[in-house]
Amino acid sequence: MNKFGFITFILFAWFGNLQAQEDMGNISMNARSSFYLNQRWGWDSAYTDRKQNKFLLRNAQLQIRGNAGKYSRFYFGFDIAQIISKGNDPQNPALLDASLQYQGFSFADILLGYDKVCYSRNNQVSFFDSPFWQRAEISGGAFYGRRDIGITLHKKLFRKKLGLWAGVYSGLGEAILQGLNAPSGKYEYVMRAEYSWPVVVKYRELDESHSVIPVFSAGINGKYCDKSLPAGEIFAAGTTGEFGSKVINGEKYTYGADVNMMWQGFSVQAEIHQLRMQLRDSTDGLLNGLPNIVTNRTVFTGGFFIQSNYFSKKLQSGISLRYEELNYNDLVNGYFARWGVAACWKPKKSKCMLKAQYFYNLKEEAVIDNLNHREQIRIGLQINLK
Amino acid sequence: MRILFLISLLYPAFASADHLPSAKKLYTEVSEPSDLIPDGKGGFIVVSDNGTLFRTDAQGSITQKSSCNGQDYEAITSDNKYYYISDERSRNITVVDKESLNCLRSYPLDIQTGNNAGLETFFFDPVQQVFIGITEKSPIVAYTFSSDFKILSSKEISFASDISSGCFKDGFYYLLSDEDHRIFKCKSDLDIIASWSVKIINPEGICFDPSGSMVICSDEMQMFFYYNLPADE
Repeated sequence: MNKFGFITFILFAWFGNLQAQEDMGNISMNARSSFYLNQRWGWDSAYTDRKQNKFLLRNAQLQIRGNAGKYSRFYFGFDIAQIISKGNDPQNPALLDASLQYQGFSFADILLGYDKVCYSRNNQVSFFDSPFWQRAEISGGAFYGRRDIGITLHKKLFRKKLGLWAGVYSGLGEAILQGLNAPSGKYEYVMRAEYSWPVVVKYRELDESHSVIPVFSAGINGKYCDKSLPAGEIFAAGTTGEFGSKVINGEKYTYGADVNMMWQGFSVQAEIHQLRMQLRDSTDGLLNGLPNIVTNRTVFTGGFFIQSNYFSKKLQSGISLRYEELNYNDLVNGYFARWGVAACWKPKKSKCMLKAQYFYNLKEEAVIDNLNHREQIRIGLQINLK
Repeated sequence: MRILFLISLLYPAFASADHLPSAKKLYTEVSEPSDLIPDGKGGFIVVSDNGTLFRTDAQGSITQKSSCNGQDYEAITSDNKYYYISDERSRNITVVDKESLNCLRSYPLDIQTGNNAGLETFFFDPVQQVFIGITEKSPIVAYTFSSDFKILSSKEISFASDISSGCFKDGFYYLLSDEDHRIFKCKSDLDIIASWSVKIINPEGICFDPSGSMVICSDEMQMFFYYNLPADE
């Protein structure tokens, strides 16, 4: 266990023990599952692998939550489907959370342990509350960790309309579950500020309750970490992410903004994020062999999405439209643009939701992430026994 | 966005004819108020989601805090003697002294629901001398309780998406739906007589003040809204 994990463990144990002395505990469990059929079209002629046309059990989750005393809440959730398949997809991790929240201090609430990082509004929205089967590429967790182990402080001001978060994490994201650490031994620092009007807005994509008054929220957030490798050291396998930009040999600044609006069943969300990576080594793979005079050892990755939704209470159905763009690396071709449409149906008195999504890849500069297809449809069912 | 803007311009034309305009609204110091009842002194007794109980003045300012320490207080009612609080999470009823606001005793309810799915609504019917308790949703079930909190009968409600609060007034039950943003006036057999829509986000509590105005509290807005019902209703 690294130093950071040890400190967190001690604090976790202390708060847990403190509250276990009181007799106000309760516990609740929730089971959730989802499975789908995925089908792709418009394959590149040279690409013969069709394994993405498939049925898949996406989730088989068990969530345990409860109170340990008046001020403490604990969260523990895992996904059996991902444990069996040994997957650690940031969009769909094996361990969802293992954390304890303490709300007994006046200066701030404290969250300890492994949970969602306080960066990005979309990151806080549960997959089970989205009509889509997949998040936008920029916010899916390929470029920054969606979950991590650490300490988060949360303060609500102005009748909760202004939320402030500050956190310190391992900086490895979901890879921290391998029990490894980056050789630098340094942490990641995250902050977020979000203002909601006229009331605090829940982390949802659909306006299922049809807000009678327009509600609005806007947030800004940023992260910083320096994981520069000491001489002779390398990152452990699986820590740098799918595109090598999740943990880098150098300083990484991530910053973004988001807005959300809901009214009478209509809702709109938009987010934009950029990564500024100041690399230590001029031969780093992210620089693609380009000379120092061109790169200044700096790489940018960025993207955005905008999504509009409507939910009909009468039909218990929702429809969403999303447009997204992503530039994997500003030094080389790697631009990507995609339209997405999703529809969902929640039968009344049912714990199920039928979801279907369609993606159309508008533009793909296939240097970094060749998708090899143009269209995709994903249709399936999710069950949430809450 | 242009479409949304046009819709917003047209919206007043489609506004519901049964919409009830608020006569007055004010902020309360009570965080996350989930139900309220007049205290007989010009103010209110207010319960909070945090499991706390307060007395406020007519302006919503806190004048007294109870030592009661619950988990998730969702409803409050009274008879001639005591206040009664429903704790949704622990599924019990707590009896409270009207002057000191001290908790006197608790009664567990024999209802088979999940965690945090106990009674969201709890009010006293002085005509039948029974308590009415209602679960919030999935399903909405109205229970009739005796004065010692034994279940006498139950009935499933299907006319609303949820029921977040209720109260008794002049022989009728007034039920509030958070998700439908609507008040239902019902007979004691829960047949609807009238209903009105209200423009409140997260309406969680309902009562009538001594002057006869209907008062609704909003959890997320942290406000009290006053309404005057149409005279023929």
